[in-house]
Amino acid sequence: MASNALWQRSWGWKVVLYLFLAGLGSGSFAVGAIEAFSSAQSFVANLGIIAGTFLVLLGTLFLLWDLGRPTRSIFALRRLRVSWSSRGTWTLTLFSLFGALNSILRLTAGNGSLPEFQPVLDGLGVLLAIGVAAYTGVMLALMSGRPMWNSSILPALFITSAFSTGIGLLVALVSLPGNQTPFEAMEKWIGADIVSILLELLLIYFYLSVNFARAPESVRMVTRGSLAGPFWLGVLGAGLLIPLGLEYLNLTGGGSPVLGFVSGVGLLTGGLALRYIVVFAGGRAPVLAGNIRFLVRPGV
Amino acid sequence: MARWGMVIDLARCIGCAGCQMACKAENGTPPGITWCRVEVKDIGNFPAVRRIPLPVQCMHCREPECEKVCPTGATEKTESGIVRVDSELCMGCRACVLACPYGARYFYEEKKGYYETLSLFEELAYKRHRVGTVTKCDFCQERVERGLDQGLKPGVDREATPACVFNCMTKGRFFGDLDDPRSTVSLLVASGRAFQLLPGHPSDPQVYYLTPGTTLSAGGREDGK
Repeated sequence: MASNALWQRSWGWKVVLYLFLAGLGSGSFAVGAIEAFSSAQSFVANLGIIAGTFLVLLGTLFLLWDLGRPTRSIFALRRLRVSWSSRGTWTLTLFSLFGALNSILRLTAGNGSLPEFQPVLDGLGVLLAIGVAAYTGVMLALMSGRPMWNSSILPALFITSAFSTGIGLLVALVSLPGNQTPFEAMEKWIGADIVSILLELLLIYFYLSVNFARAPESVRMVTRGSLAGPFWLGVLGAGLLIPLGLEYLNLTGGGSPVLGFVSGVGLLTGGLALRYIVVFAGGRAPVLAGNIRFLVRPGV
Repeated sequence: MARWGMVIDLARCIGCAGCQMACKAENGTPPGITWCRVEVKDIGNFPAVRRIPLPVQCMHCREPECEKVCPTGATEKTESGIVRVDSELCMGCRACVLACPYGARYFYEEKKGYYETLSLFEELAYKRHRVGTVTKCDFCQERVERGLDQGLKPGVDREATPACVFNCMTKGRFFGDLDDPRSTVSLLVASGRAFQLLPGHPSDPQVYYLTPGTTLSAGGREDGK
């Protein structure tokens, strides 16, 4: 019974998918746009920006589907000054508009014919992408009644995971057979991903150990309870350790596009598992009445 | 302008959930939605055990966390301190349900009644609840305001007082103006027995509780032993 109360029930799989796709899309966009600063129309730049925009838009569809009254979503722009959810809506809207414009320009431009303001559009896109990846983390981190969310590590974890899954997607796509771009083009991104995987491992360690001090039952649910499978196999195994090993092999010369593809798919699996765990481990902390802890369970 | 608040005397609460039923009748909330409800907890070790009731509802916080997360402005705090949801603006994102540390908010997911078909009461009562939006206790705002228009005093006159308060059979609930230092609620809050849930939390609830262990209640129950 106690573990039921630790489970978060208001948001479900649609929000998990949104968080995953928005992170993945913004990460992929950022990688593509950064690549575009050095070679404006390279395959990786175009792919990152176009696929990134598409994935964020796809994720937004899940977010809208999850709303009780999707037709009212325009009202979410009203409270920019106080609500992180509203700030996120603004960021998401602007990202989508500029991302769509950017993608259309790239899809229609011939070689060397991108407009002069393209770098500005790319740079703005990177900033908005960081916003899209981070705002959900900030929003959850401010929810004081939910110990697994109320953590300043969460936005950093979301940004790192977004970046890493974005690289994973592009590595996997570049590894596909028949692709013209040499796999070596991804080497610097694989190097960057190794750094972000190590950072993510560190962040996850701090995230769980800091939370263990105030919500031991929730952390146990992740490490030993109902979320242990997605955590050990999904986040740590498929999402971090296996890609870390494969990417190391790729950089030290023992790699191949096949291993690149496997590590990319692993990174995506881990990113999805991370959002799943964070969303469902976010149960409400007990209410304190004097010195007695009541687990409040609305709707019963 | 008044600042409405409530005091719940845990020394008087017997956990009958009469408040919960009175709220259901007054506000016609659909299944699964209980604006006012009674949580229970068993404490102690056998055979020295006790079951403790805790009536909970929207705390009408002075600094409501739900209002801060609401992206549409559907949740607002009125001048008289009532936190309410404008179902015209609510898009049903449930950020407020998650942000509320007191578990006071409900998402109205689908229109269904307690029986196979909606009863006449349900047909009428459910009109005020909009599917796809978030609902919660509003301190019986309509009732209070209607009472005020008739010159009645909330917390004193039945017709101007929230249903859970005047229906409490142990007279363990009090309602009134926390800005009026001579109101019953203000006196009880100042009595030294009052506490808020999650002490020290910045939300500053306007629903206070009186400790069960330090007083004899009018009902004659001994002090918490």
